[in-house]
Amino acid sequence: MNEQDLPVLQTVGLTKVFKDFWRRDRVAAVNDLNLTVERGQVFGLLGPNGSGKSTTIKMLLGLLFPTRGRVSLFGRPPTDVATKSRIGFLPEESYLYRFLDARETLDLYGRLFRLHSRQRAERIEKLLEMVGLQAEAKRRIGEYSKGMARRIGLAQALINDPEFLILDEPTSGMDPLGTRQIKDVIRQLASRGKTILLSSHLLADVEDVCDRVTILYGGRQQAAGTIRELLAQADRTQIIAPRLSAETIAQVRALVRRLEQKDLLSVGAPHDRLENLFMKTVEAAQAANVRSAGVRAGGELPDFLSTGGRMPDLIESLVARADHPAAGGGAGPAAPISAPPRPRTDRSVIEQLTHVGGSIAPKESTTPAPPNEAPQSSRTPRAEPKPPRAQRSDIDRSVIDGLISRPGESDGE
Amino acid sequence: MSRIWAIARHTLAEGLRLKIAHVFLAFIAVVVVGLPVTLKGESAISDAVQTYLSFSSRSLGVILSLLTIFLSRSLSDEFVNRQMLVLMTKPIQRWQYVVGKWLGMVTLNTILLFMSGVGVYVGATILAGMKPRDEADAGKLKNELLTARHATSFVPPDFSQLAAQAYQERLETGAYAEVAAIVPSEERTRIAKEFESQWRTVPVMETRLFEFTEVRCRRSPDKTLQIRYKAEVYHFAPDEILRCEWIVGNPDKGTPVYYLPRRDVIQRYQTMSVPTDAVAPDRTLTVALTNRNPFEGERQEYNTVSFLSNDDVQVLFEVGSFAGNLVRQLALTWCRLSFLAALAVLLACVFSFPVACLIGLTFLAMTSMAAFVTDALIFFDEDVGVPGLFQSVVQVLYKVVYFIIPDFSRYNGADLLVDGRNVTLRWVLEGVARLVLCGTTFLLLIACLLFQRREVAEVSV
Repeated sequence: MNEQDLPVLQTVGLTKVFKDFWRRDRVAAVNDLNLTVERGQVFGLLGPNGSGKSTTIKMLLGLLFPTRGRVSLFGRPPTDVATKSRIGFLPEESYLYRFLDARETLDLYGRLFRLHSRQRAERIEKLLEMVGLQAEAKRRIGEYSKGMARRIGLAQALINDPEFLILDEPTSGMDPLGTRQIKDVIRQLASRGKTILLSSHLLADVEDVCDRVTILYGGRQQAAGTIRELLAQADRTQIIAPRLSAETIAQVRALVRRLEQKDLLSVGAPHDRLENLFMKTVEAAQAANVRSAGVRAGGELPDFLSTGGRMPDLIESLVARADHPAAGGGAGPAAPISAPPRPRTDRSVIEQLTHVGGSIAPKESTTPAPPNEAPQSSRTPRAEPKPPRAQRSDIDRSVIDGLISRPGESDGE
Repeated sequence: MSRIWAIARHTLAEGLRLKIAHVFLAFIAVVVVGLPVTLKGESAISDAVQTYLSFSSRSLGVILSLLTIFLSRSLSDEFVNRQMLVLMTKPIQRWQYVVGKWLGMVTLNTILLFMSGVGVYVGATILAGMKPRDEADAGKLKNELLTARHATSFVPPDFSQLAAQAYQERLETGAYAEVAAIVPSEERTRIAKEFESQWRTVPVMETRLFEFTEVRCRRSPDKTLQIRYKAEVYHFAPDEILRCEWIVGNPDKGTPVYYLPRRDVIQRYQTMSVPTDAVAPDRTLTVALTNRNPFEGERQEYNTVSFLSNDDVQVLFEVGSFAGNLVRQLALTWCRLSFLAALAVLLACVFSFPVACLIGLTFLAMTSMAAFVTDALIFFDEDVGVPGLFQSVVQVLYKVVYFIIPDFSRYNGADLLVDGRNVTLRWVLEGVARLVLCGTTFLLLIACLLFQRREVAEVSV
């Protein structure tokens, strides 16, 4: 079988039983776990403390030996040196050498990957810039805060431009700024075709970045699927609009009652996410050049982090076709390349809501689409890059996506 | 190799930054640099140099051995602090890691040994450059300390034929008539030993001839060799002085003969210098001793001189330089440190820091005592008779342990260096073969096997 066809990660009946001093079985930390992570996926491993996430990851990396079952990475055992050279790993805590400074740390790991000295030096500088620690690069790691150490931890995981990145609690110990940056990095890496396995018990982190998740409890897989599959609330509908008057809301209630014979469950002003508020505040302070002893704003993802195991041409082609739908040859919306067709949306409720009285919907949403471009709500789905930070919508788009998807059906991502 | 070297570089950097390493480095600095300053007040420069060489070479070995044992922490800490979790996800084989750790320790030791060796050489040279007390002081410094001399001991004559004759005579004369059972070979050996012990004693006014072979020095009236001896004298004179005359040379072989009347303190090593032209062209040196005791009024039989060991009379002649000798002595130390580094790596692969360290220190103590324990066991075997069960078990245990553990004292050239005696290249090569090629390889092999089977993220519940 061609290596490109193999899953990046596959476990079959993976089991780990910890023993006591007398070699008696004590705790089954992982029990008969079957995982498959395909190329380009951002895979979330969820579970409460003690659910077996870290044990699973350690077996994936060959740091623990399975009691039963098997692990393969790129179709080979995890202890294989060639396999390890394609992996980046950020452990749950940044287990770094306290006596080394940031450059020395990255240099050590770069040497283990046999990076040429010039290439190593370039990558180190770019990674330091990416994690915002260039100014602190000469300080010993032992003097770093936990968040700063995590950033160096992330940098070391990326030094080899890994195809497969395993992140164990990547935002643990990070401030909201760092958490956001880490998530941005994950998104950008994913957009470059990297495969990422993310373990966390911070559900928001996983929800923000993962395509698929597996939820572990008691060492067993309890649920698995795409985020949308798992989070879809098929029996409810959410509509988010600019601030409406009480009179309009009353009309909406009446309309819903008349058309659907149902009452609205709740109506109120939505709250912004605290993460967004925090980011806006910090960005404003950074724009005003307020001095800080901590990390600087992280830089862009280094260009050496390539497009993972995918064919770069394919990615570019996908992006190009998505950005220029007309280039696909027809005047209509671009057809999905590999994803199954999105289920047809029942648009009648939305259209009625947005056109009743002619003034309920915001002006932007009523602007007609260009003649050769499909209306936004019916656009062909694709692996959608998140909007830039400054333009990030306050609206949780998954709700709208959920609204226009049929319950129980995959969105094909 | 680049990955092994990456680990080695890292271990080296860690070793140089460990606080405990700084303490040991401070000790080395005090010994190598500080000692010459404090020794300037010694009356004879040769004594100062000898003291300096003795302290510096011995303490260097001890300090670096301890440092090597403590460096096992570098590896065991990586388990405890979990840096291993990151390291082992990088593309490195476990054996490469083990070898890299060992190489890092050995590189650190090599650097420290080199720097210390340069320091010792410079320190000794500075001390030796000071004004000697007298000519004897200058001579001792030049000919007996800052040099590399080969030592040859005397070999007693073979008395087996004489013993066989004597046995036959005694047999024929009926000397054994009343002896119940006698084993001829044992009796002949006993007689030979009896003759040899008689030969080793020199009664008053008698002369004993010692023949030394393979004295490979350049023959010249301007160059000297040394004859060193230690005489046992029972019932010695009240002033504890041995009066004797040494005659060196062999006119039959065309060499000059040197007469050396001596008055020396008994039971202590004495050295006398003789021109090297006393050595015959066939590289033999003939030395005769005439016992000129007794002290006035003493009975003659109380002043017999004895040389119990072959080493009690030795000829020492120059075969190399002090610098070369120092390098070879440091090479032997390096062999020991290399072995200890492998041991430290092995222990750290299995145990955590304090346990690994304590076992390492115990091992170090045992290797240093190996010669003593071996002698004790021989004594035990010969003199105690039939041992009990406990003693037998202890004996077997010791023998097994000391079969595995090398005798470090055998690979320590400090005594020779201090004595201006040659640390031979053959000896160094033996150290390399036994300690590095065999011992170190064996230990690293076990370390690799154990580490290969160890779960890096092991959890005990």
